[in-house]
Amino acid sequence: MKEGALLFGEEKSLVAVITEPSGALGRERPAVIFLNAGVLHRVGPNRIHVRLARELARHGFVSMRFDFSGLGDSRSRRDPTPFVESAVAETRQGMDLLASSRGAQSFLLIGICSGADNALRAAGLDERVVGTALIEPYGIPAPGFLLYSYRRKILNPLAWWRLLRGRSELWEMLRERTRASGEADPVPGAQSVITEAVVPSREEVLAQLRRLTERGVDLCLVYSAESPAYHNYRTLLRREVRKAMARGRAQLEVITRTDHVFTPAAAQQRLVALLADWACHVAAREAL
Amino acid sequence: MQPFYFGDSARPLFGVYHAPRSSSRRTGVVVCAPFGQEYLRAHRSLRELGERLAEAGLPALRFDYHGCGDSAGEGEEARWEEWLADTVAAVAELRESTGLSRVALIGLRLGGTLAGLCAARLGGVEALVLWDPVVQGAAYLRELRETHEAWTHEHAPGAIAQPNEALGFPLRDELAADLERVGLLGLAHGPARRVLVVNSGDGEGEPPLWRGAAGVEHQRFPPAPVWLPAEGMGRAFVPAQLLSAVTTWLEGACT
Repeated sequence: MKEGALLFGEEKSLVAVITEPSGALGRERPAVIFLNAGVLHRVGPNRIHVRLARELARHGFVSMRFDFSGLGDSRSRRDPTPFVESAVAETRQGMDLLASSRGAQSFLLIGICSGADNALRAAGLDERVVGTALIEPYGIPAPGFLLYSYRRKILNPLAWWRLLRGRSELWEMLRERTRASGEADPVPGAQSVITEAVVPSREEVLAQLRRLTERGVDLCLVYSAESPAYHNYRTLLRREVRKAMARGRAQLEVITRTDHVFTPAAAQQRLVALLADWACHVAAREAL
Repeated sequence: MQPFYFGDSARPLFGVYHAPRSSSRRTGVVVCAPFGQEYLRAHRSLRELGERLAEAGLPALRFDYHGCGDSAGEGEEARWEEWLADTVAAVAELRESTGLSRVALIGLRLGGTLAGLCAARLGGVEALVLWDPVVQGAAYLRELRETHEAWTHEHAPGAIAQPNEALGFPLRDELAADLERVGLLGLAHGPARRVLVVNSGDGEGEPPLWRGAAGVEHQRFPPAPVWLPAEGMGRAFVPAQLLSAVTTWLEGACT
């Protein structure tokens, strides 16, 4: 396994790391691209992208993790292109790079949280994408979403203790809002980026899923059993995904005893193993 | 900004070099990141710091320790002495690539501990900025374990908080034993020509470092949640006032 860093994109301002097998390249295998999760940089929550990239390299896959402009180490764009458009364009530029430099002809996109939303958008627009893993896609508020989100907190004594002690995220948010702007400035653009990114409409998501399943793109949906995202799946997406499952083009994985970002090591191991299996499965199908 | 790998090809380190906008200064700055969840949360702030230093004419190198970020190795392999050697290697890389012999170090949290100990090991460091440094590894380890347990209980129902994990990152017994014994209190005085200790935490529990010692300054800032674990991933904060003050101080301390 070897890794290299580079800059790519229209202005050579997007920071990327490519991980690849040390032996002969598996050109017949799709190349994998990891998309930013929220405002976290390309290594992913708990460094999951790095761990998975190396596991995939052991299975013969080339992969790239990079930062969208304005996130991680990549410079902000100079033009006013909305984030949802630039994210898709930059993902496709990443595909172009892997196609020209590594001979990749097809791609798998992997995204956690808002990365899943962007993976779905890019996959819908680029027919080179043959599979996409949507991990904890967060952005489609289903009926009961807010109630579901807060129910566990309300029932959790620790959350109350933290709130009363002034150490909860809620207090942090309130403090941040009341702070002078010079003391803790939000990352320029980052907050609006995420606000935009996490709110694709229900219709948009369903239409994108339908387009992908009709095209025969393989879907891997992964959820944390307790997360509001899984509630969204059951309320909004299940019916659409079941049709693809019936055709063997979608799989659903639900991981228990974990959180939205797979903090426990056991959950990370499970996630990495199942995604590697899925990638191998899609590659085998594509090779036929 | 240039991303690259450097150091021993058997265990390469990932770095980002911020080239200076002018070449008036003769000191390079190595930026030492914190560990684990704090590393993720603080990434954006350290990137901004690198850019500000470059803007001020100070070449800066950020890097990831072995088993962290984009560097080679897995978190399970992490050891303190290797991280210290990585920091020394980053200083050597910056000196070699810029041709500058003078160097300054900045470290945040556990990166502060590494920066301080690296400066003491190397000697002759121009300036050292310790941003909310971990002064006593044992206290940090205790805090890490308590936070991990609370987080797991609150956010991952049914999961058991394992002692060899720390908020999503491996914390093997060997590294824990290393952390138990490291700290800055063993250094009798500031290990650089000039030292700035920046405090933007709640100030609880940490003993003052080298207070009153020659060449050592302290600055306090309002608490900035740069590395606090917060729910979700949609929030990142850059403490502009603090970064500005650190950059200005380094401009004065580095010729």
